[in-house]
Amino acid sequence: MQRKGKKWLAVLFTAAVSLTVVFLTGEKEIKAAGETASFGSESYEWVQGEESPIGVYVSSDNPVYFAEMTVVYDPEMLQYSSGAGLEAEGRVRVETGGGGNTEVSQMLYFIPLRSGRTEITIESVTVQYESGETASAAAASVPVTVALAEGCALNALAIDGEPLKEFRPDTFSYTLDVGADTERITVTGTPEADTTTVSVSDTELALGSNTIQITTTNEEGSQALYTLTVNRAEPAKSPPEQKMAEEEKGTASKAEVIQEKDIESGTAAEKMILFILLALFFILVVLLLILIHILRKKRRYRYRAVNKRQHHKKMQDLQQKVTENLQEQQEEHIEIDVQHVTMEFKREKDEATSIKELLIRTIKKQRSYEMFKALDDVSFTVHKGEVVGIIGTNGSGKSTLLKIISGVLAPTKGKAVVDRSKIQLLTLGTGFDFELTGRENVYLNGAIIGYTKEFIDEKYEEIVKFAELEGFMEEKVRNYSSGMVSRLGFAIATIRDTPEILILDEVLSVGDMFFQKKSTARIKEMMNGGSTVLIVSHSTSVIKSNCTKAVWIEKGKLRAVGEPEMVCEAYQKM
Amino acid sequence: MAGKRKMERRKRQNMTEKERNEKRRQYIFVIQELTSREIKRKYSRSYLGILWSVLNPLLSMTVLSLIFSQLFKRSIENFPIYYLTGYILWQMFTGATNAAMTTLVDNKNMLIKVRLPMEIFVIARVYTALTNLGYSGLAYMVMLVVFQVTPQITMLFFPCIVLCLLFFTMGISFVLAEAYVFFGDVKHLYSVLLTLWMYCSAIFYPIENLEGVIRTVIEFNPIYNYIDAMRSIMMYGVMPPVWEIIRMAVWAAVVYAAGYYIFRKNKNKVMQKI
Repeated sequence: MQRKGKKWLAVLFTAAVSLTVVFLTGEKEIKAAGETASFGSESYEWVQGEESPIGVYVSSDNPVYFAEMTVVYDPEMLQYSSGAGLEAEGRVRVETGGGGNTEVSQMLYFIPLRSGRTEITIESVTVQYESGETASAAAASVPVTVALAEGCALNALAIDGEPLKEFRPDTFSYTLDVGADTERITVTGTPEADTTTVSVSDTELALGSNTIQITTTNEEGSQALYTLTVNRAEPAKSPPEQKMAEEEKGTASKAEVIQEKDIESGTAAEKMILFILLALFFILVVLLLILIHILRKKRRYRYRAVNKRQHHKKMQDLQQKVTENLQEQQEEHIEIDVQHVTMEFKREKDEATSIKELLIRTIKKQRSYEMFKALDDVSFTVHKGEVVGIIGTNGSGKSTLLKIISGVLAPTKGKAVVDRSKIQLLTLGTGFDFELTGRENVYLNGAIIGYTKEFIDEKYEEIVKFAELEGFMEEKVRNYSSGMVSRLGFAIATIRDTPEILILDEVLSVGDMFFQKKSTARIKEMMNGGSTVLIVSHSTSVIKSNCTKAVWIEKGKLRAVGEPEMVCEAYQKM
Repeated sequence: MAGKRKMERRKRQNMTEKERNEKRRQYIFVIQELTSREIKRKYSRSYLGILWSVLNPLLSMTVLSLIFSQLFKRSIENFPIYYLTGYILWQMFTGATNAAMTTLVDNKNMLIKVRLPMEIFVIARVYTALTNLGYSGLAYMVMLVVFQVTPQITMLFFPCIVLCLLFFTMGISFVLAEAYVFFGDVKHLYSVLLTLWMYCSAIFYPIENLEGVIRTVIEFNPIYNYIDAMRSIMMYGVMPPVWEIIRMAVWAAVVYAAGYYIFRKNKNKVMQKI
């Protein structure tokens, strides 16, 4: 018993392992296929105010089905003109189909606003292949120089009165390092032409890196932009500055916190989902464990019971062997041998019908069982050719006994020896579907009780005739009277060739008086065909008139076996 | 005595071997009859009858295409077919498991009175769903023509996927059918689970839009596996990668084996309970 449990666990375990293996090996890989993003040329030189083209390219080793990317530019320097969709100021979204080529390209147009130097960058490139797989490529950027308009150039640039030595009119960006105590610088530019105005952005310096823009505008309105990056050194430890620095740090970390929050709200949903999935998984595991626990308990219980019985059983076995030998000598033609059959149903006192209830009860150990014996040590034999009637009040275990004999149920103890292939259980209207027509039901019901299609085809007319339902067969059974239904059921059930063992479960009271006569005749015919018959009935008259032997079962116990007359008399007197 | 018994057993075995074919034919006949009953019953009060099996996927495709094809215009090329491919497979799975879940309880009478293997009732319900898939397949084929999907040689792989899905479905059905006998709650629990499962199967949205955990979950989802493989052979003319095929087969085999094992093991208990 315990070994069995281990086997079960082993099966579970191997299943789990193989599943995880499949999971792990099956992860979808994104294969790098040389996806690159690039521009048409290494650098660009444009003229202010003139619409200029720039080509963006995405190439790969495999045919590209679809590609998308974001092109980032400086809106102060360039104005986006056309070519793709403007996502926001400074960002252009490019989406393009590949049509199976290995390279995808798109032309974008910009109008330079000012002279100077800027950069155009391709970001977040996603390539989709025809297989549906996607891959991403690294970002790329290209320098763009916008030629100086006439008069826009500066001749010199002075910081706090001192001219910048490395200054050249066609270099647009400079870097400068200043001490920590420099809070402000003065920037003066000398333009090429007198009519050109120079404007300088805020020159107050914060700690770290600052960008100062020097814009020149000539009389025609053309502009050039020089940028000066000023790095202010970290402060010396003077108290007020430190305070300031701290304040700044505070704002910086605040900004960081905000950013983090942004990211978190993005992943929060994901975490939530993960949590839910985990919770579900957990619940499933708990349920599984409970189930295993229950099964184990049952086994243990049985195991103990078996142990107790072992000794007793050995003795019984010995006895049985002796009796079997005897029986074999005496009676050669035993067709059905019911040996000490006990059928126990475990009935829970107010049974749990929901998992919740079951859980609560299991935890509180309130699950009390009540063993209900439907059959208690019933033994009898039926010989070939006998017609045996089984009587008993409702719920005395007659149907259970029949189920055990026909092999539908397996008994808890004992056994019923019988050749199951010979048995035919005669039941009426099993699986009748009221939504189908009579004809369809004949086939359905026939199939269920074991007729082949050819057999039904052949016997169909006969069935209809016997059931007296000519002209109703295309009608739905829903519209039949109850008598018609049982007649049809009887006709289907009894059309077969007489089997060797026939079991009749309350089939002898069907239809009106005339049909009853007919059906009784049919049953008699079958009985006289030399087959062994088991009849279950409440009616003593049926048993008295048909049977050669009667078995009386009351509340699961065998009360009497023998002559029908005697047994029926005892039954009636009860 | 023992020798005699052995002989008897051998004799019986011989007999069953001879009769086995006959028996199997009989079971197939029963399954056919049960299936035709299910289908007739399903449409017994409607005028269009079995036509609904064809119409249903088409209508649902139309409705969803109306809404979602705009939404996923740029990431899904042929939304109606994309959706329909997933939908018919999903329908087959849910139809089968939902029907099979209640089959033992529904057919209680037959189970008690007739000596038929219990599996037959489960198989019949799954087979009904398969038949339905056949009718939906008709609609699907018409739609393939309408949307000018070029026939591909890979489409011939289609039965293999359906077969895998069938076994997978059968395994789940066995377990559900048995569980439902003991707990009616299973039905409600399962309907919730199915909703989750449906959204995790990427039936009407492109998986490319998702990232992180949820995407991983979807990619591990066997149903998505089947749907994805189906799409790649029907729409793109590409065989699914080898690991995907292996995974499909393994899912089917493991789930079927486990389901069947559990089913066999608890057979007697089910009979008692019913």
